[in-house]
Amino acid sequence: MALRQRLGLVSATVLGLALAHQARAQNVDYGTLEQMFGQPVTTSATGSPQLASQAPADMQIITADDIRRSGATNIPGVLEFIAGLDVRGYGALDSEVAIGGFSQVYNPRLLVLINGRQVYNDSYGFTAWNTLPVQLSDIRQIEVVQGPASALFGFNAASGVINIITYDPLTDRTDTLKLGIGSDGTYVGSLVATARKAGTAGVTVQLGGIKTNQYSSRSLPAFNAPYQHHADEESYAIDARAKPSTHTEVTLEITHSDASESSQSIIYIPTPYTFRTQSFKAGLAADTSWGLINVQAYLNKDQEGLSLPFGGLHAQPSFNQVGVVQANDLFKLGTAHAFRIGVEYRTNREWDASSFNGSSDYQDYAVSAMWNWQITPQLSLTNAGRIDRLVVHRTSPVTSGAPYTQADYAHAQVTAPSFNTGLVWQPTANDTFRVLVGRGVQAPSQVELGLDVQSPLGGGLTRVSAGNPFLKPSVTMNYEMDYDRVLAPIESTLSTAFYYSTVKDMLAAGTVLPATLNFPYYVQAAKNIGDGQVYGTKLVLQGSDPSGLRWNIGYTLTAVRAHLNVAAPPAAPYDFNNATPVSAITFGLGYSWNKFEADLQGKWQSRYTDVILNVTPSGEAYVPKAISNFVTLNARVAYNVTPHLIVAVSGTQLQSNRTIVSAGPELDRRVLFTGTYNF
Amino acid sequence: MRQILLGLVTIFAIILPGTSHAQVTAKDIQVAARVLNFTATPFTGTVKLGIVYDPAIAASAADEQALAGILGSGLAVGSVTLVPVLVPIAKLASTPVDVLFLTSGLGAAAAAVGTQAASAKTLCITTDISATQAGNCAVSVQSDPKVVITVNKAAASASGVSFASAFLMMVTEI
Repeated sequence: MALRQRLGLVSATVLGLALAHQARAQNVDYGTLEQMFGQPVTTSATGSPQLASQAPADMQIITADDIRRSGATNIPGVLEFIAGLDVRGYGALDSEVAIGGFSQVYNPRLLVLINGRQVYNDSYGFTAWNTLPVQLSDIRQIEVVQGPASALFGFNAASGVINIITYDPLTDRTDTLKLGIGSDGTYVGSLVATARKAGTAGVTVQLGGIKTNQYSSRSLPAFNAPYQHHADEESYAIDARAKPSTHTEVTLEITHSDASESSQSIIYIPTPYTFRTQSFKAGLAADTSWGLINVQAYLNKDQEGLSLPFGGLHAQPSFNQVGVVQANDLFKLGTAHAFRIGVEYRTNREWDASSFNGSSDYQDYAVSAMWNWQITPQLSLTNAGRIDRLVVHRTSPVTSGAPYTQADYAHAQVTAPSFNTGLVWQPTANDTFRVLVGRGVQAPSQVELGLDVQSPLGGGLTRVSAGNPFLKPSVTMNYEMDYDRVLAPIESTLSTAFYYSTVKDMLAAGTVLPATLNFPYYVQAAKNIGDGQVYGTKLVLQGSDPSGLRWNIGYTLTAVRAHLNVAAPPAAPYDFNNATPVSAITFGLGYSWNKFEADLQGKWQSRYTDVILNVTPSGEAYVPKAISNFVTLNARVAYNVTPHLIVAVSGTQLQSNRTIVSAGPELDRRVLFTGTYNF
Repeated sequence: MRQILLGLVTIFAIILPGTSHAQVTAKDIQVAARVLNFTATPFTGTVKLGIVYDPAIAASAADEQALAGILGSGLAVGSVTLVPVLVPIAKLASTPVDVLFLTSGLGAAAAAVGTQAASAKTLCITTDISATQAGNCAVSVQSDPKVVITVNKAAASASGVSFASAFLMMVTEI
């Protein structure tokens, strides 16, 4: 059955179920709930709306005000100063973001979504941050969950989740034009416009882009590969929502993005690439006598072209297509028990002529459940569980020299349970204790499962890079205790988190592992490369007062101990014990006064070791690169010329002309002037 | 052991929020108005808010005075404009309103409000949680030190009022 037919059949079934009972109320209204409770509301912890402060998860909400005041031009720039997040730049527009250790390029352990739609790319298992089709001015909030959340979101929420929530065109008007010009030949522009009939229908159209030069030639590291000095990205998105009745809501969303630049690729070398993403999403929410039913179906189409310094591997663009249908029901039994049950079907196909010998396919079937028990008004217990069954369906023939047969792929399947348990106790209005245990699952990526590519090495040898149908999913167990305290006398909140995580069966693609010689084939196969532990602590104090002053300071400790069954660099790129800064201090100070708004954000992080691939005619070697401890300072000053017009100047990496932050090129100091018109 | 338990009880008696009736505040009214967005058929436009009070009870009369000051001739909050209608408890049955707002301190007299809300199928909101706990008013709101909304399921049902599931996930139901 074709993908489109399968998706259609499943969608029709769940839509029919949803409409079979009389609907009577609306979907989650983030804006009104936030206004009513005086703090952000989230669904990213349990799938049920709840106050961020009461969620059974280590969660931070980055608000629209935070985003505006950051002066950032992209989402990693907004995340950079969040305690517990390791954000490192590899290109002018591209970064890697990691939570809870095991930082690496193409980080596969952090799931990223926009309005619940996955924007994580299943091909290599990573997020191409510069392709996210969302304008910062249309974001209501960014929800950051630190710790496994697979019981709600499924595979790849192994170390955390970042869920980006945009404004709702049914209830919010976002009409903004922003233009900017800056150093390094930077031009930015975005337009967000909303048309709506209040409470009945609304549509938001957003488009924007950025064009910049990456770095001066003197800031490039030594490597033997072509390099593209300009970087650009463009995107548009249409988000239409309607209420055919007072009690039901339908959603239709279309997005498109293009990005082009050089950045660190999966093989640990700065690589010119192009990305194109497209998505189509439809959803229905209805509040019925059976509870709040949500049905969502979406299709992600990603195309990527990498110009690698080797023949064969992705010489042609590769394509990834993910189709997802999800349905869930949220309901209460009695007054103290809330439940959420869900089913999900997912189909994933990766193909290109040169790298997969055709295509690699799998389907995933999942069931999930959540139970929240409000034991007393001060004490709640939440349990959530999910089981995924991933079945590989490879129809393409296996090339000669590959270490696995067609039969191996025919029997490849993964069954993976995940769970989250959280006890939240709020003995007073100022104190919150959390005890959290979670099991997160990282599925093998398409490259790790199904890559099948050959390239000549000379001397009669042929390199074979292969996926492995026998891979086990990587499992993260997290044990955590949190304590939050409102410190009214200094108008601040203290948040603390202490956790211990274990990671089993970490995954690595064959492209970055040592080969075995099976003459005339030089075989690299994906494998599980070992285990690890992380001890972590996070302390954050933040507050504001009515005078317009705001402040924050945070400390993060991340100590990683890995036990790998592959050799360290130069044989393989993995040195997880040193790959994440052990200590980081974030701090910020801001002030709003009449028409002025000024903010300074800073971060100090301890040294760590990154890796870069050195390619020479005689071979390849992963070269460790020590990154000394460094400080990052960003600032923004804005002036409201009129109630509708804001002019601002913002700067990044202000502490130095150029700063070494990773094994990629040094980051330049940048200054950007912007004008924002809210019409 | 007994002394330890007594000490713990004393400590929690000090740090846990009390149940005394604080006077209604503007913030309470903001919260109450937002609740009207989450009924099965959300309220919009002008809403006649019947302020039920007993001039003979000090706490109730104080709330009535405070509400008169907060609401003035009408207070716009989101998609609704609350227009106050003073309803002495003795004239409860003869004063038609869209929503009842029960002042605090009425005690056993609040039972009449519950009866009226049920017979007129009218939503009742209060800041007096004891009235909600007693089933005399469907919803109570508290905004300080943090927002707490309590819904009496039976009283709401008797009043013919139901709420959005998303809203019910965020409140305390009794």
